[in-house]
Amino acid sequence: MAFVQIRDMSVAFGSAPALRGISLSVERGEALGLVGESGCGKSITWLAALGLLPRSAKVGGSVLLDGVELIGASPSVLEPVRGGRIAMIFQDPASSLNPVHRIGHQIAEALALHRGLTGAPARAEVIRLLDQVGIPDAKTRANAYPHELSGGQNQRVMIAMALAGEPELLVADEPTTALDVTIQAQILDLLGTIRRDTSMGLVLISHDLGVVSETCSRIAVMYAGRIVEQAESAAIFANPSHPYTRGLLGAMPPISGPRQKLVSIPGSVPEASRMPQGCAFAPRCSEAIADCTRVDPAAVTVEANHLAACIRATPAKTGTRTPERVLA
Amino acid sequence: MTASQMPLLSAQDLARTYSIRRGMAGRVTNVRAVDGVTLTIARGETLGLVGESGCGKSTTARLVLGIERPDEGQVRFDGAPMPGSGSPGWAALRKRMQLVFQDPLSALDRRLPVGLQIREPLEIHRMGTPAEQNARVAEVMEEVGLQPHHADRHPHALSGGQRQRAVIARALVTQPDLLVCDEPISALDVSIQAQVMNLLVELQERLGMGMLFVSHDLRAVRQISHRVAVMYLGRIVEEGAPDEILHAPAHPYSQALVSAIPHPGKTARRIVLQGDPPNPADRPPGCAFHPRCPVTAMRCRTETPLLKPRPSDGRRVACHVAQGEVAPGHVGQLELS
Amino acid sequence: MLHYLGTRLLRATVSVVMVVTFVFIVLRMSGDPAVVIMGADAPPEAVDAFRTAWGLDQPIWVQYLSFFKAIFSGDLGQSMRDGRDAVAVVLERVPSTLALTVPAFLLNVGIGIPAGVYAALHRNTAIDRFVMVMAVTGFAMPSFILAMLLVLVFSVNLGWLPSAGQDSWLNAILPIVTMGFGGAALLARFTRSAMLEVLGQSYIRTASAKGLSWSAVVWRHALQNAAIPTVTIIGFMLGGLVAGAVVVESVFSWPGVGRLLVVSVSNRDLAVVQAIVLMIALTMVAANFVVDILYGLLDPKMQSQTRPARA
Repeated sequence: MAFVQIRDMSVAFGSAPALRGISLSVERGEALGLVGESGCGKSITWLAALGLLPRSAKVGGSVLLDGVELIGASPSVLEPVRGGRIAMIFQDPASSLNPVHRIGHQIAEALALHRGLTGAPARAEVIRLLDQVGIPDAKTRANAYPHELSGGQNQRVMIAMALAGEPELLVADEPTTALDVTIQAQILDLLGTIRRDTSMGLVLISHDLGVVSETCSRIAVMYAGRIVEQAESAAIFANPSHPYTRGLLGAMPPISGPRQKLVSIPGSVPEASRMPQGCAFAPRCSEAIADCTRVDPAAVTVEANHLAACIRATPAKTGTRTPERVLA
Repeated sequence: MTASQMPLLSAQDLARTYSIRRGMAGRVTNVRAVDGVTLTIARGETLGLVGESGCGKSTTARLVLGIERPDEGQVRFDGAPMPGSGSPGWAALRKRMQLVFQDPLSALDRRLPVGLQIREPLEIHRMGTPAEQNARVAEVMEEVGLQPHHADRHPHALSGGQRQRAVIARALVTQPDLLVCDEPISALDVSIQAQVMNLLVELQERLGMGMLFVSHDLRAVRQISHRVAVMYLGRIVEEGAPDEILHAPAHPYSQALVSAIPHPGKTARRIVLQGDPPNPADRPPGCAFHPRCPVTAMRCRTETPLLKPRPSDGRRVACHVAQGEVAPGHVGQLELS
Repeated sequence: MLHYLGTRLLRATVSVVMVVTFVFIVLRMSGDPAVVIMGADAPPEAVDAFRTAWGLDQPIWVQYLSFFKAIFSGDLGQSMRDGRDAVAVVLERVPSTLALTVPAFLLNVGIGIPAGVYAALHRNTAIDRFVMVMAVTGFAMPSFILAMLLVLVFSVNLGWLPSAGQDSWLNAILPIVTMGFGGAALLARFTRSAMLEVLGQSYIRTASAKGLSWSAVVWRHALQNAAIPTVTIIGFMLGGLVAGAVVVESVFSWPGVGRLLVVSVSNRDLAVVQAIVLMIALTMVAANFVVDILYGLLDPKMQSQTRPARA
């Protein structure tokens, strides 16, 4: 059984749906990429799974962690999971760290919670963690405040804090978006190194297919609160089966070959409160047919381990649906 | 560009220093944001200016527009020196050079319908009768792909892509000769970025303006520009055709930038630069890149390399090693992954 | 930190000098003090004698310097009514005023902050709305109206509490409540919005994602951050309390500094008015200095840069 099993999860704020029934599984030690534009629900999926959304959010469906239900679970169930089994890091490292506490203190907090470390052993472990994530002069830097460090270093501190609980899965929500290109490379490199050393699983949330494809073995593409396609990374690029995935790939300027007009997706993402009938992507889809505005398509297996939620996607002749990976 | 043609814009040895005081009685630090930048843009040409935060690319954009005065150096537009800020000649130049910002929502006035905002430059520069102004607004809105009914909308009632189109329409309404775009796509969603890039390329080709495209994204710069200049800590370190720079970068910093581009199916190993982006207030001596450079030689620590054509192929690069003046130094810092 | 303290102290000193100069100019500009005090129909010789006695015949810069000298030696002249030392006249009223303002301040902080924090943590519940209605009421109602309402209810109708004088500690209750309510309302509103802003910050989400319980998130991560803007308001409120004392002491005939000020103004007792204005101004400067120090303690960023300008 998968380490995390999300089934038909939905989230709504008031009458506006943010997630419209997604099913996704993450295997132990796997690196999964979650790709989509702002507002597609890629971050909300994991905030909802860990119970981190405001109370006004209506969350439905099921999230099983090693068979234990997390949706609607009590704080006594959720708190050891957060940071202990599933850790999360966020987009803007500078604002994700508390400005009034020293970084060493903020890391030590996680050590006390999940590993019962306090005092001198905790201090030693803080320094070891800062060292591990590549903060130079860790001993002194442990006493620094977040505003005294650069953006890249703060993201390293966030990663150290996430590692403090020795989680089995790290959910990194746009960890490099706020950083410079060369620093982005450093952080992705660091995440790769840590995964090699610790066999920790990774969910990398990003709007950038390029970032995700380098780091993750499997990719799920989200659009307007649904997963529209998921497959091994190579298959996503070799055989994109949902028009939205093809649109995202076409929107990425190539780095070689003749320069030609980008294949852009017309229009913009629908507002949650005004979701179109049928397939949410149909109004922007160049391949839409009449049925697309009537039926919200279920996922079909286009090839082994490759699912696409498009009525025009052709099912593979030999492939069978893997029930735990059904999308809609 | 032939030798007989005068460039639309030429900037010679621009330098700009800001003074920053920390604390009420703190000492004053001089930050040299732009340090000896020379560039030209011809009519119908797009120059891409690429670099990381704090490298001085936005300051350069403001200097060439004449919004800020350089401490040293000179900007010439259409052959004539930039008139003093606020003078009648300077004000008249505003309609010939326009700026597109990063965040369309903050570049637009939330309280006014976008049609009025697109029209405003025409009123400021007293261009045409009201009827002609209306016709021009309708024309430019069509050019950028906005529907006529969008004119009555307020910015918040438009999508992100439509807002940036409105900002571009406002910049183009006076039919400028030079368009400066400062990170015009980085605040937009991926699918919208492609729309705006296509629009900029198409408009530039059709209208034949000169364009300065400032971005941190080498992919976008390649897509849009005819020529690329890479900036690091206030200086241009390499300049050339986009494909030359992307496929055979000469400067070690360009090499790192290129290798940092996330790329589906990438198999080549990546150069990971050590250390943080540099602080312009604490500029290293010699080549500013030397503390992070994987091939630093002794000379790089003391002598600032000049941007000049490389003997082998004429590529303009500011690097002692790339110029073949010194042998590559230690490769201890070079971490391949 | 030493550098930070030094600059704040320097700033406080500059404020004091400016306040003293301001008082000096205002008092000279309000007319010839000799004529004002002696009366327009006083014989010219008497006015001249008064001028000489008070140094008012000296050049203005000599007066300015001696004004400073006098202030720093604690000599603000004599009350023009009974000839006693003006400072002494003011100081003997200070304990009465403190007996109102200190409890009122404790009421402000003790009710306003917890109410604001509670309302923020239970946003959009009935309790939140109740706290906010009370806060808007207390904020909007001028203190003399509240004072008269309290007198009507508790003294006139119920007869539980005395309405004026200083006969027993019971007399202090209504004035303290009057002053405490307005400040608590202001502080509750402000604390609530500061707290809501902090609770929406990314680092609060980080703290929850780390596995901390909600109460630990609030105590360890939210409160100190919310305290930073709240401290500014508390600094302003200290000044407001002194001003409020003038009104409330008059309504309740409480013999404090505020009432002395009102009486001295109508009696044109220049030296006493001057002493009170200076005292109030110095209190404000001192309050601001304390706020600055608290700022430095609460916000580590303040020790390495200048504080953003406050409105």
